[in-house]
Amino acid sequence: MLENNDKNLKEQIAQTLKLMGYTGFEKNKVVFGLMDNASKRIDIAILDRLADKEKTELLKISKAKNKSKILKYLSSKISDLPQIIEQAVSQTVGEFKRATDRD
Amino acid sequence: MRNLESLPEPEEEALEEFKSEKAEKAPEFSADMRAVDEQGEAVEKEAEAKGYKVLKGKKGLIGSLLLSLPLFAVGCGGGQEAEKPSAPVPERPAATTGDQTSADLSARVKKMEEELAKLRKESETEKKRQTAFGPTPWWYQRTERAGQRQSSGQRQEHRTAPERRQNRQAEEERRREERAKERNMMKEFEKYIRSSTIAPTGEGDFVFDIGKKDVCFGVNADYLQEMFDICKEYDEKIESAIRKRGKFGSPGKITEGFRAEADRKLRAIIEKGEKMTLEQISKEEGLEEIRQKMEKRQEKTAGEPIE
Repeated sequence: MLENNDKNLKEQIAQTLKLMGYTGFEKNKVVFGLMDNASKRIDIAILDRLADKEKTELLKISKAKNKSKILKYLSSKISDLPQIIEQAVSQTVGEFKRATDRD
Repeated sequence: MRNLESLPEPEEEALEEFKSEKAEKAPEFSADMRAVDEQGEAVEKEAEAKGYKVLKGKKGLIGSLLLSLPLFAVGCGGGQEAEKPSAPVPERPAATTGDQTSADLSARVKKMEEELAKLRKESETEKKRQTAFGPTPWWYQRTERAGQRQSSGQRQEHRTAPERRQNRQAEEERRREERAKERNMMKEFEKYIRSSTIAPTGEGDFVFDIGKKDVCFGVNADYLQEMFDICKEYDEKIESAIRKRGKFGSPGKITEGFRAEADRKLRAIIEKGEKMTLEQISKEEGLEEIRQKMEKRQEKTAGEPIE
């Protein structure tokens, strides 16, 4: 039902955090919560990189929900997009691990 | 024989029991959720401090899009073909350490970088073209969209007045047909929504009632996660109710209540989602699995109402 890679990333986070003892529902709650936080972080990092005019432009494009257009626009403005995503996910999972003594 | 209908089985009570059982069972889960919420609040505060109020109480729009992208095949969606990875992605070992996670992420990042470089190149080519020839004129964009890209010779062709009139009439006719098709589709959808059952099956899945064999509907990917969450939640509730009441009597009344509640919620999501035919779903990124599932179900239940 979910895209494979999306699912992989979620499973990966669940395994890293040792959520295996949880029920499916509980596991999803935690992982989806973390992914929401990571997605917010990615938004902040992206908006930080853009000029005001570009931010307005991006918000306009994103309202149309055309993934390809959004991605094209972002990749033309931000060269290290993959690193931003990686950093946001790692930071979110790392912070959670520290907060819940899983380190 | 005891009358099962007269047995006291208030749904509210079952729900409360379910909630309290959950709370007792997973103090660790509560602590984890608290940590997630606190982290979310901190991120929101950071966003607010920077003046990005758009993030308040919602998940990051761009971020969630990027996270949901198939990282090994970035570039799909919006009419582009998804590119298959040239080599199969190796299976991850069962136990994943933090180091492996970063290694996995790095591999994904590398692949994504390659794909993004391709997109960037495309975007630069378009920019160069625009610099050389100016922005794409509206009439050119329209013919491109309609898949009727013409050669420059054809574009400059002079048309006589009757020809232009004829073309205009043909265009109007086409638009009328499109509008009628859209109206019919919406009618079918409304009929479908009124008559269908959408409910969790208790197996981590949910039922789409399909109606006609050649017309069926789903929702776009943005709402799938939301539906998935609801189904998981109600699956658990139903399972718990069956476990609890199995010993003492029929769990039917409670599960019916849960099913109806889930049905209402799912229906509301479907109504706000984009309505798509099976054909459209097959083109939508990430929905192939659902399309196959729906097709299988159609084969099984063609002509029969779904319970």
